[in-house]
Formats: sequence, C-alpha cells, structure tokens
Amino acid sequence: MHEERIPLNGTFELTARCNLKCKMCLVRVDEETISSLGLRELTTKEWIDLAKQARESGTLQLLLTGGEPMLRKDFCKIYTEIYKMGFVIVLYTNATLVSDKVMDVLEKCPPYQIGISVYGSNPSIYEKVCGSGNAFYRMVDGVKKLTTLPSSINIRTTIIKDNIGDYKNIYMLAKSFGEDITFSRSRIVCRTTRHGIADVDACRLSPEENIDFIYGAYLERLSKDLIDKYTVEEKKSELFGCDAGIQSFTITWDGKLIGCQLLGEFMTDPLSEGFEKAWETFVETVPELKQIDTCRDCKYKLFCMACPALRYCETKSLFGNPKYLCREAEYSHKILEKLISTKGSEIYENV
Amino acid sequence: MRVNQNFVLRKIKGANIIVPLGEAIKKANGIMVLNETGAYIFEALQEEKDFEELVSCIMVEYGVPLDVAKSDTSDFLEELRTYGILMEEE
Repeated sequence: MHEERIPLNGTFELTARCNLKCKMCLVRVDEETISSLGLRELTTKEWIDLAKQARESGTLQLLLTGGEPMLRKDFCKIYTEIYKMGFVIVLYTNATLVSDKVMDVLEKCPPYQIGISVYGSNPSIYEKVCGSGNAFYRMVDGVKKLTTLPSSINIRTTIIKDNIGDYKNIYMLAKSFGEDITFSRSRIVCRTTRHGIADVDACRLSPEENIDFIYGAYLERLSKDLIDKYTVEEKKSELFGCDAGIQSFTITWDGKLIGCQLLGEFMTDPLSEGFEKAWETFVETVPELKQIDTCRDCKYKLFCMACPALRYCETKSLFGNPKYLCREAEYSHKILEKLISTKGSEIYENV
Repeated sequence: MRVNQNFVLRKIKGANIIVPLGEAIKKANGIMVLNETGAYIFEALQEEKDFEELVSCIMVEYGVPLDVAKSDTSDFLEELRTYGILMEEE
C-alpha cells in the first residue's frame, strides 16, 4: 500500500532538442538520433491535452523544460494554452531564443519562476561549453528581457572542466542582472539518460574536484549537510524514497510518464492510456527498493549522496554502484577527517 | 464587485487553491488556500454582485443570521482586496 499519491508537481520536457550543444547536458538528443531511434516528440495538441488531464488529476505546479523549450515553433501556443489552465508555471530556458514574440506571450502570461541556465561569463567559455560563442551575447540579451517580467528569476549554472575557472565571473554576471536574482549551481553532473548524446565522463570534474568545488573553502558546510541529512525525518522507503511518483512526475519529450528526469526506465504511457491511469499504474513499474549488499557495510555511507535515480543515471540500474559517487563519499570522508583534526570532534556532536 | 479574472480557483483533493496569473503574480506573492466558505464567495463573485447580494447568498447557502454573514463576508472581502483579488468600481 502506498500513501495517498497526488501528482502535484509535474515536469513537461517539451523537447529533447536544443540550439546549444552543452557538453554536460543530461537530456539533449538531436533530430537525427530521434529519427534513427524511431521516436518522436509530442505534438502541440498532445502537450495541451496532457496538461488538461494532469490538471484534472491535481497537478498544481508545472515545470516546462527541455532541451530548450523555446526551440519548438509552437512554444508560444503550447505555453499560452497551458498557462490559462491555472498552473503555477516554472519555465527553464537558456535565454538565447527570447524573441519579441516570446516576450509578448510572457508579458501577458508571466511564469512564477524562470530558471535560466548560464554556463560562462564570456563568448570563449560559451564556445567551449555550449559550442557557440555567439550564444553568450544572445543569452545576455535574453536575460535582460526576461528580468523585465514580474517572475522570479533563478540563474542556474553547471560547472565542468571548461568553466570551473570562470565560476566566480559567472556568479558576478548573474548578480549583475539584478538584485533579486537568485543563483544556484548543480550539485553533480550526471551521465545522460534516455538517449542523451552528451559525453559527460569526458567533461565533468573528477569526484574529488567536484567535492572541492562544492564545498571549497567551506568545509564546515560538508558537516552541516551531513547533519541535515541525518536529522530529517526518516524517509519512507516507498518507490524511490522521495516525492518522485508520490507527488511528482515527469512527462518525457517522447510522451512517457516517469518518476524524475534522471530515470530512463519504469514508465507508463499517458498517450495511450490517459494521464490518470498512467499515474495510477506507475507504481507497478517500479521495483521494490532493497538494501544494496555492497553499500550496507560501506564505511563511507554517511557521506554517500546516491539516490536510486542517481544510481540509475550512473549505472543504468537502481541497484548499481555509482563509482563517481563512491569516490565522492570516500573523498568527503577524507576531508572531513582533516577538518576534525584541525577543529576537533565537536562538528560531529549533532550528527 | 467581482473577482479579478487573473486569479483561478483550483480544487485539488478537497483543497481550494487560488492561483494568481498574469500581472497578479506580482501582488499576490504565491498561491492561497481558501476554506469552503471562501471558495464559495470566490465562485459567487465570478459574476458582478454588490455586498448585499453576496450577503444574501451566504445566508441562504449557510443558514447564518444577517449580522454573522455581514461580518464574515466583510472580513473576507478585505483579505481579497489586500491581494488584489477583488475588482470594484470606483
């Protein structure tokens, strides 16, 4: 038996395509690959129908993302129709395709929040990370337009080898767009899922570099994160152990209902069976989570950030050992030990 | 008076949730949850009504005396005004 499930938070991956070619993208699939796989993106009508059905089933917040959603020629039509249904809309974009037509629509129908991905502070970094130097100028122009909306703006970055040296500048650039703008960075760059074509292993930081980057000079934050992790109410072990499939869902660019964007299996088909039934039967697709033998006695498990979806991304199995995360955990343990040796064991007090 | 059409009432598993849209997202500062009476008033004000008409509707719907209906309605309308949900002719 599962607790009451309500699909409150939805994600619509309106497209897998993107005008940029970011080296670390989780989702991007190009047109040729889509055709060669015999797959297709949903039509305008299919997205609007799915939104209507999700609304009937109780979806309140809806994230519209991609790929780059504004790349779709029918973006304005889909967006306007969905907006009128009364969702709390969040829109993710790279801000390089913010045309006057798009702005007309967004001015009439401003989303609650716009998440803008920014991966560099100059054209040269954009060329390296996203495959287009000009995209930098288009992004700056786009962000300036989007910040005129009443929506809250969150600038999001992802750090890989090519832009780690530019991180502070990216932060400064983000803040230069406005005082109220929030800034966030991805915790981890995962391997791609669902036919994504990015070569993540070639571009992401090593696990040790990633921990150094995430915690940097703020080693105390690592201990605080651990404290937070172990003082939150114990999560129920239903489905994936989080909200995925309990209160949230993703409709993939090719129309499947899955738990979260990281996953590439355990899906139902809302196009053929309708959203309500696809949501109801979703639980039947997910195998029961079990303790993973090799993890049970791991001395670094306190430091392990793996969740079933991350395990899936990294190993294509919910029960695989994600070596990248294992190395992160081992390294976190090492630096925390170093911290204890200089600051004393009081940082463990509340753990 | 009537409710601003930039606010949509969503009924989700027994909860009455007001979602602001368009320009309303600036002033409303997020979603609001209404009780049953609030949702009834919100729906009643989809069409233009004056205060007396609204109070009469509430007396009939909930079987409450005039003074209670007036006082509760007045309080709730004030709240709607605060968030820009109520549209009134000057």
